[in-house]
Amino acid sequence: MLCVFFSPRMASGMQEKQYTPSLLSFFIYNPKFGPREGEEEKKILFYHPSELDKNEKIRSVGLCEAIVQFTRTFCPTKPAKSLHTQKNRQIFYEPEEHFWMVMVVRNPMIEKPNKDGKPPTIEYQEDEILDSVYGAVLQQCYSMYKLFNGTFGRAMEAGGVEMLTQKLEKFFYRYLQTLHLQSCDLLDVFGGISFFPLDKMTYLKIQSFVNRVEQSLSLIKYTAFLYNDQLIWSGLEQDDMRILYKYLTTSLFPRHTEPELAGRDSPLRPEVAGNLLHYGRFLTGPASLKDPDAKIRFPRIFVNTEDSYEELHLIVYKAMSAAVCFMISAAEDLTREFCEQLDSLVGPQLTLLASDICEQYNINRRISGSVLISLTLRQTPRKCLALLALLSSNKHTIGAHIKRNICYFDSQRSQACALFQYSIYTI
Amino acid sequence: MFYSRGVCWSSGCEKQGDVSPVENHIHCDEGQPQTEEGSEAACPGISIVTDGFADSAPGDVSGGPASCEGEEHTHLDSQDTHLDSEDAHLDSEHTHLSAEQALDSASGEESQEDSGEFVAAMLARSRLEEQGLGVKGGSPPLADTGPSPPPPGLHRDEDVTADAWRAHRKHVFVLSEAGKPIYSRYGSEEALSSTMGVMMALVSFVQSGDNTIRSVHSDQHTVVFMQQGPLVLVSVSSSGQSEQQLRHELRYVYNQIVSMLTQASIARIFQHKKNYDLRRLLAGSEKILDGLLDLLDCDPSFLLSAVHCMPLASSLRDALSHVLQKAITPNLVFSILIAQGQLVTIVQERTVIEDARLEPADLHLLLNLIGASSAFQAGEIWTPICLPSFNPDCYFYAYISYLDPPSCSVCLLLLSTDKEAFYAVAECKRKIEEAMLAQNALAALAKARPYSATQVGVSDLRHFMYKPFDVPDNHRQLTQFTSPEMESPYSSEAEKTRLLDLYRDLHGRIHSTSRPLKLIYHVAERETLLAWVTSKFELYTCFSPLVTKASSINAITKLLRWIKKEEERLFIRYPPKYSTTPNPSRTRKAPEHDATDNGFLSLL
Repeated sequence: MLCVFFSPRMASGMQEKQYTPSLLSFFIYNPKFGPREGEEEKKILFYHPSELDKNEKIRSVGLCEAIVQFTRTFCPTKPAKSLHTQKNRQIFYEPEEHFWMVMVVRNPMIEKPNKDGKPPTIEYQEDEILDSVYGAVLQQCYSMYKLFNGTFGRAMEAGGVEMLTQKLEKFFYRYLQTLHLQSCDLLDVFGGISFFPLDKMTYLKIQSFVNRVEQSLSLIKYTAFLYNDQLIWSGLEQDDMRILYKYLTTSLFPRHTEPELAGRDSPLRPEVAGNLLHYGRFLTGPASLKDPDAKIRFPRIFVNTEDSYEELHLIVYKAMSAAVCFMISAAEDLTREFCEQLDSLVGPQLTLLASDICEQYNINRRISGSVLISLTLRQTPRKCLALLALLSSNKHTIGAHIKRNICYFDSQRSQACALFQYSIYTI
Repeated sequence: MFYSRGVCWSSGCEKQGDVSPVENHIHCDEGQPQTEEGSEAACPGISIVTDGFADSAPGDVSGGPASCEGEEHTHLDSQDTHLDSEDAHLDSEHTHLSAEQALDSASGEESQEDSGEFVAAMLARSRLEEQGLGVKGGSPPLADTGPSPPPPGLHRDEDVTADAWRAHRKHVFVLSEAGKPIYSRYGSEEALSSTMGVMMALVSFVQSGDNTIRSVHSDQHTVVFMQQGPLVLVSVSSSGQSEQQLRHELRYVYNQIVSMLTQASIARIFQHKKNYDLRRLLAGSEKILDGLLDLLDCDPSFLLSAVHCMPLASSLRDALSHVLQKAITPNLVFSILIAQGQLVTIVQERTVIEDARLEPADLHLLLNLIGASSAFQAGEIWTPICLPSFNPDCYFYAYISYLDPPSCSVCLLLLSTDKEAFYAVAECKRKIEEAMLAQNALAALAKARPYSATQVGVSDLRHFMYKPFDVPDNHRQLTQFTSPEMESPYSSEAEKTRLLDLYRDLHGRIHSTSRPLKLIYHVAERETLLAWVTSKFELYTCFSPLVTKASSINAITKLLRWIKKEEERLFIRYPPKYSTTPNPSRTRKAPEHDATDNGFLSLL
C-alpha cells in the first residue's frame, strides 16, 4: 500500500509567461540504410518538421545513433530510451529491429521579464516532463501507424523504402497534428480501456446478439461492442483492442457525434429519417447505401502482427449510443449486398439493445464522487509501482489509494502482469 | 620502516629561493632537508612516481631521504631496520618530468607548488602501502629484487569488453574537456579512452546546440553527465538511484579531486594546456577515489549530507573535547577526533573562521581520505588538503595520526593553515595523547559501540535514520544524523544494500525537485518503510512487514521521544571552539572563556 501526500505548488508570478511542452521534432530512421559516409540522408525515413535543413536532420539522427551506441557499451540488449538536456527531452523507441522513432519535446519553461529592458530570463523546468508519459505517447504513435499500415518491415517487403516513406509521410503528417503533448498524462501511460458497467442479463443479451450476428454473417472474424464510448465485449486480442479503442474514442466517434446531437427528426439525417425501422448507420465505409455510385470501401486494419499478421476490413456500425465493430478478412470482397444484409440484420436489433442498455444503465447508475477504473496492464510490478508514483504526482490528483493490488505472472507472454483496481480522487 | 616514524612533506623552496616549482620530500629529521633540497634543485621538476602509464621514462635517482636517523617515537623503532632498502626502492621508482612538462603543469605559482606537493604526498602514500604489505608479511623488501611494477589496482586491469565489467552496479568516469581520461572506477583509462571520447563528444555536441546534456536513461542504466570547470564527470549506474542523487555523488568525486589539487590550479592547468593529462598529478590517488565511491555506495551519510557521529556518553565526549581544546598552537583551525570511522568530537578555532563551519561534505572527504589509505596507520602524516565547500581554492595542512597503534581505530586529525607548522602540530598531538592517556580515554573509546534498534524499545522497528535540522538557537551546527547498527535481517552485505536502496528510493522521492513529498508510507516486499520530513527533522524508518499504518505512526512518536532523551549521547550538541591567536597569554585564557560561552561547562 502506498499513500502519498504532497505539498501544494506555488502559484506562478504575475508577469511570468509559462510555456507548455511542445513537439520540436519527430523522426524515424534506420541506421542500416546509409552506412557509408555521405549517404547519411538515406537513413532518414521520415522527419518532421520536413522543411528543416538536410544537415540539421543528419546531425540530430547522428546524435541519436551515438547515444544508442554509447549505452550499448554498458548493456548491449537495453539501449537508451531517453536523453535529457537542459532545453529538451528526446525519447527513443525501436519498435522493429533497426527502425528508430525519436520524439524531441521541448521542456516547459517560464519566461521571467527582466527590468531595464534586458531580454527575459528563461527557466527550463527540466523535471516536469516524465519519460514514462512521453515514451507511452511515442509507442502509441507506432501502434496507431501499425494498426492502419502494418509493420515497417512488411511495407519494405512490399514496396521497398519508397513505399515505406510514402506511408509514413501520409500517416504521420496528419497524426502528429493530433498529438496534444501539453495534455498528455497518466492515462496515456496506461493506454487503458474503460469498460462499461453492466448487469448480467443485459451483458448476456449483448453476447447473444454478437453470437447471432457472427453466426448469420460468417464472414465476420472479430466483433467488438461499445456503449457510450466504453467497451462491453471484444473478440480481439487485448493489445490490438487497446489501440483500436483509442482510435475509436479519440478519433472516429468524436467525428460522428454531431448528427446525433442534432436530434432524430433533424433534416441533417435524411438517411435515418427514411428508415423508420432503426437508427443504425455505418460510421466507416459508404456514407449512404442508397447512393448506387458510392464505392463500398472500408478502412483496413492490421492485427496480430506478431504472429498471424491479419489484414482486416473495419466496419463500424452505430445505433444511438451503441457501436459495434465488425472485422472481416481483407481477402474478402465486400459488396453492397453484404452491407445491406448487415444493415437490415444488425440495425433493428442494435437499436433495441441500445435502448435496453440505456434503461438498465439508468437504473443501476450510482452517483459517486470518485472515478473507478479497472485496468489490466502488461507491465512489470516495478513499473506498476512507478506508475503509481506517477499517479500520485498527476497534477489533477490530490490523493491516490490502491484498493487492491494483485500481481500475477503471465507465463504465456513470460511477462509480469499486474491487475490494479484503484480510485483516483480528482479535484 | 621509515615511514612508520612519520612522513612529513614540507617544502623548503621558499627559504632557498629555489627555482623548482615543486619540491617534495620525505624526511624524518630536521637536519636532512637542506642537503636533499640541494640535490633536487639541480633537476627542477615535479617528482612523479609512475604507476605504469605516465609517459615519462624512469629517471634519475634523487630527492629521496638520505637517512632517517633520530627517531623520536620509541614504539616504532623496531621497524627502522628496513629503512635503507625501502628508500632505495622509492628512489628507483621516482621519475622526473622534463623541465618542459614541469612548466606545463606548474607555472611556478604558489598553489601550484602545493598541488605538486600534495601529489607527492599521495604518491609516496600509495607507494608506502604497497611496500608496507610486503614488509608486514615478512617477505623480503621489494628493493632486493629491484624496482618491480606496482601491483595493479583491484579493478584497473579489468577487461572492459567483458560482461563482468558491464555488470558493475555503478561506473564513474572523469575526463577532461579535451576528452582525455582522468579516472575510471573499473578498467584502465587506456582501454576506455574511446568510450570516454564518445562521452566527451556527446557533451560537446549537445553544447554546440546551445544546450546542456544532463542524462541518458535506458531500462537498466542511468547515465548522468556533469561538467565542472574543465572536468566532465559521468556516472553510469544501474542502482535505480535518482538523477539528482547520482549528480550529488559526482559532486563528491569532483570535490575529492579538488581537495587534492584545488579548483584554481585545475582551472589554471587546463587553461595553460587544454589536453594536459591530469593523471600525472593524480597518479596514486585512484585509491582515494575508489574508496570514496565504495563509501558512497554503502554509507548513508553521503545520501543525507550529514555526519554520523559516534554515540558516546556526553561526559566522555566533553572531556575529549576539552583535551582537544587545550592542545592548540597558532594557526590551528580544526581538531577532529575520529574513532572507528565515526566522528567523536570536533573543535574549531573561533576567530579565524568566525561564522564558517566545517561542512559535512568536507568532513566526509577527510574521513574518506583517512579510511582509504592504510599508510596513515603507520605514523604521522602532514599533507596539504583543500576543503572544497569551505574554500575550493586554498589548502589546509592536515596532520593525521592514529593514537592507538596497532589497532588503529582512533585517529586524530588536526588542520592548520600554516604549511610549516608540522612540528608545532605534532607537539599538540603529543599533548593530546598524554591527556588521553591520563584519562584512560582510549579504553573508554574502545568500549564505545554502535547502538541497536532494539534499545529504542519499540517492537517492529528494525532500523532508522534520523537527521535533525539546525537547532533554533544561533549556533550553526554541524549537520549530523544518527542511526543504529544494521542488525538481522540486514546483517549480510546484500541485505544491507537492499535496505539502503529502499532508503535511497524514499529519499529520492522526498527530495524530487519537481514533485517533492513530505511523508511516504511504503509497504515493500519484506518490510514496511516510513519516511517523513518536517521543518525540524528528516526521518527514515524501517519496520517489520506486518506493521499497520497506525502502529507505525505510534512507533515513530515513541522513537522521537527516545531520541530526544538520548540526544546528548547521539549527537555533538555544541561543538566547542578555541582561540589560537598568536598572543600566548590570550591563548591560554581563551578556551576557558569560550567554553562558558558555548554552554560547554554547563553541560559538564
